[in-house]
Amino acid sequence: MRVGRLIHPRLKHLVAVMAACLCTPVAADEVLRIRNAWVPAAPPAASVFAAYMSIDNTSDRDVNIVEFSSPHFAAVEMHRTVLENGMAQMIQQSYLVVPAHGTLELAPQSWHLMMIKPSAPVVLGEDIAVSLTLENGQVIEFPARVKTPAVQ
Amino acid sequence: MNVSETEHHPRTKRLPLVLILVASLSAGLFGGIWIQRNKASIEDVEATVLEPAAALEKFELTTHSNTPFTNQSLTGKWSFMFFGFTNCPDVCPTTLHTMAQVDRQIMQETNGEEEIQVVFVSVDPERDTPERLAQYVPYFNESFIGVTGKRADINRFTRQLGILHVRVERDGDDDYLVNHSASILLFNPEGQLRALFSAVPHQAAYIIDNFLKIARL
Repeated sequence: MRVGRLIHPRLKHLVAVMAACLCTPVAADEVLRIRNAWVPAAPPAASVFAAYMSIDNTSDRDVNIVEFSSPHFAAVEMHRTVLENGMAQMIQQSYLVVPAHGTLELAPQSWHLMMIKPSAPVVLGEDIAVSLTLENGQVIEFPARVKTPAVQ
Repeated sequence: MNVSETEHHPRTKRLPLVLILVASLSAGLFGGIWIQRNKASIEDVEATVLEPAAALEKFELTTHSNTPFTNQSLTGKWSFMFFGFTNCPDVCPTTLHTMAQVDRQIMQETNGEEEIQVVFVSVDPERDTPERLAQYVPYFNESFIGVTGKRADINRFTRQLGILHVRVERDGDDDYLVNHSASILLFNPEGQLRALFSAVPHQAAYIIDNFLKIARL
């Protein structure tokens, strides 16, 4: 009987906490973390630029990113470079999946953003404002630094 | 004390002979190892090496300076060549940056003795005019050569080299992408195709290492 009284309040408390967790909406930037977003420097006359970054998903569920945009560019698309039949092919993606408790790496010759028609010069060392939109409509804004690719 | 003089004599007489013998054998052994190390064999190279190197059919294209780019342009030094287009955000700029590093490092490692040239050939001659290439290619390295030409000539050139390219239309008229082979081709100073680097993404260290082996074959 004493044991019963000890367990019940704690169990109720635990259930209450679990319920609260399930019902409380988690802010987008608590679920996804964007690291090391960068834009490789390209000639001033270039009309398309890539963007690469690491995206961490700290939640228990896969997260779908449905859109990227930037005030610096007319359009931003999601692509994946795939080597097939001896050719590098760029395949446009309608969404990117960041796996639960995982990381999606956007890197050269893999997943990447294609940013089209800059509205202003893309200057080495400066930050480009980028935002992403999740399937649930939440938006995350982050800067991408214009850099020269690292020496291999 | 107890050792007689006669015992010493044979030893002392043999000693120089033994020394000479050992020295010769050592020289032979180490010399052999040294030569073996510096002479590369095709098995050591991690790229596709054409044996013998393949001569090209006559071609005539145009550089970004509006000068002719022909078979003659590939002679006199080793040439690295790859294909792409300036509206390419990922593979092409990445390869150009890598080749800029390759160029720098080969200059350093060979004390400027091994002069190379890097050629970027457009598979999108409709948009990539010489003027457009002139604004794009030298940005990565002043000495790089952008090449374009008449569509039929570009097609003929890529066909003989086994380079594939396919245009991918999108919504806008001028918005298309071009899927293309990402290999880097290596031509010897005679202007013949000597090797292909097909492993993508291209790593500068890998290319430099194998280039130096190929140049010594």
